[in-house]
Amino acid sequence: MSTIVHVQYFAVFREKAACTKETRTTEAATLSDLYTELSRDHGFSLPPDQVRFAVNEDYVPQEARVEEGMTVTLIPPVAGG
Amino acid sequence: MFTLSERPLEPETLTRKFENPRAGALVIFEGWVRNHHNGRDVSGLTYEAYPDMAIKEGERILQTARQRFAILDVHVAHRIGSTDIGERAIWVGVTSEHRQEAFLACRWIMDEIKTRVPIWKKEAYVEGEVEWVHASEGSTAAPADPAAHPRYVRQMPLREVGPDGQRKLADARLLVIGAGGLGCPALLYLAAAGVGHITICDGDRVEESNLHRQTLFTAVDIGRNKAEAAADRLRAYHPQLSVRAVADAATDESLPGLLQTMIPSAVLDCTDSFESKYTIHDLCWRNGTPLIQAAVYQLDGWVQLIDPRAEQGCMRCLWPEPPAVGCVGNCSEAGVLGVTPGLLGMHQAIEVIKLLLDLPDRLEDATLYVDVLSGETRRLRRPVREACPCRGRTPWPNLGNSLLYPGKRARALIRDAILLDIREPAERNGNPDWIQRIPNVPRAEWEQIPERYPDRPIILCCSGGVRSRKCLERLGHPPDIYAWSRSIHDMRCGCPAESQMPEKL
Repeated sequence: MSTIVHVQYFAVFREKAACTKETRTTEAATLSDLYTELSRDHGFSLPPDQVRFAVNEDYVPQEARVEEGMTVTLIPPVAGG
Repeated sequence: MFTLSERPLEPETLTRKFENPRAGALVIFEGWVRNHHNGRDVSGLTYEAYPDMAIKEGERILQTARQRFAILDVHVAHRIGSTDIGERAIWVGVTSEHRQEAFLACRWIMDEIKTRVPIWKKEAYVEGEVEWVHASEGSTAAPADPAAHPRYVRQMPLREVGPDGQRKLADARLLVIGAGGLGCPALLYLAAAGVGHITICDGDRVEESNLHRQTLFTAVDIGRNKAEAAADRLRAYHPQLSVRAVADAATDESLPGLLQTMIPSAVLDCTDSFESKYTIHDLCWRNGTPLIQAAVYQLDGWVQLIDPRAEQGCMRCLWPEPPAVGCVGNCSEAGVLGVTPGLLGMHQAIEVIKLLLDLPDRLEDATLYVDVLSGETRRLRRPVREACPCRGRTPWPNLGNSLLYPGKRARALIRDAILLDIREPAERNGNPDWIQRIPNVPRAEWEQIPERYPDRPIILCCSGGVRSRKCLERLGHPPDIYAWSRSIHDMRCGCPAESQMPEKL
């Protein structure tokens, strides 16, 4: 079942994907499945257990379901402070 | 307020935001861009942020800080964009009436910012490369080779340890659930031995009555969250370790995620309730994670290792179900001398070290019983029960969410729930009025329950908890339908007086 999602990239993902945002069609059921797809297409090397996800500026678990029209932000390990 | 700034931070401007005459202390932390990292010469740093979320998460951290610490005001400013060596990357200011709270809050806020706020930094090195930095979890970076650290020079001559053993300890990741009577001694000695990554999980606060046995805490810690107080103490003793505090109880909801992100070498169960012991046990087994359990009662206790990889059976082989409510008191009810959990916590630490260093005589197939008065210890072989879920042929009891044990969560749910008595009609003869008022749904009609009773939540009750669980399985575990794990008689609600749940274990 295909869904359309918007994905936002920062930091190392932004560099590898060569864009800050993209819209794509995905078969992924969960966010971690979506990451598997994206890392295959863009050559992300971060293992899935080090990636976090945000929707509407809130962290959501990797098991969260992909929903039509959602905007997901991929968050690589943070290093503020 | 939490702000981002593309221009250099100005301390005087930031300090002037604080104006409360009740403040007796202002604690300021500045993070500076330094010229080296991990042995390489750094020429500059670039910070990138997800601005809306950074501010949202930053404000959340400050809000939590105001609840956790008695502070008056807090402001944080974080640089984004390119910075030179020596520039301020972050400025944190906290005021309070007395300095202790401001110091504690400032540190906590920095630790939280470093793990939660979506800001990244890219380092430019003098040799020319640029690299994204991944923050490490500890307060100080670990030395290059733990076997070279002078702190461990007295334990490495043991052939059981040696330089390789010391490195294994430094690489190990430990999740300690409970920073109380068992957790304090275990944590103290495991940190002292050099276990490199420790996460402490505890939702409770330090109380005066804890101090006779929970030896990591002092009077100054009273009121503080235990995981955070314990982590601070361990970091002060052993700054080269990575110690993290999770200031919430480990539950069936939070533990799976913790296990997956941490991938611990072992878990220590230093909790004091049967419910938590079974929850932690089942989740660790199913996750393939070795678990060192201990329990204490007055002047004796036991310790054992549950290692799924050893295939020597699990806790449920011997104890398939938790004991009935009220059967066994906990430390506040039955009393305890500090030396008892002190000794058992020490045995837990010993068991962890045996596991990490692959030493013999582990307790994977036996329980060690310790009697503090006589000094006697006995190892009793544990059975392997073929019908046990750990053997793979029968399903695990459904955890947590749908299975209701007596306690706070059950008390809260019962208030709005529909109770259903799923026994056969004949079993209700002679039962008190309040049970007669509960609708009866015998086995032949179980399947009709979701449709016949559309309101939620529903709690299924039977004579001992087994049938209600079976009924739940038959229904396919629909959301908001629970199985009461005890006898229906333990429910005692529907009577004129407020429903009386048995006190939690």
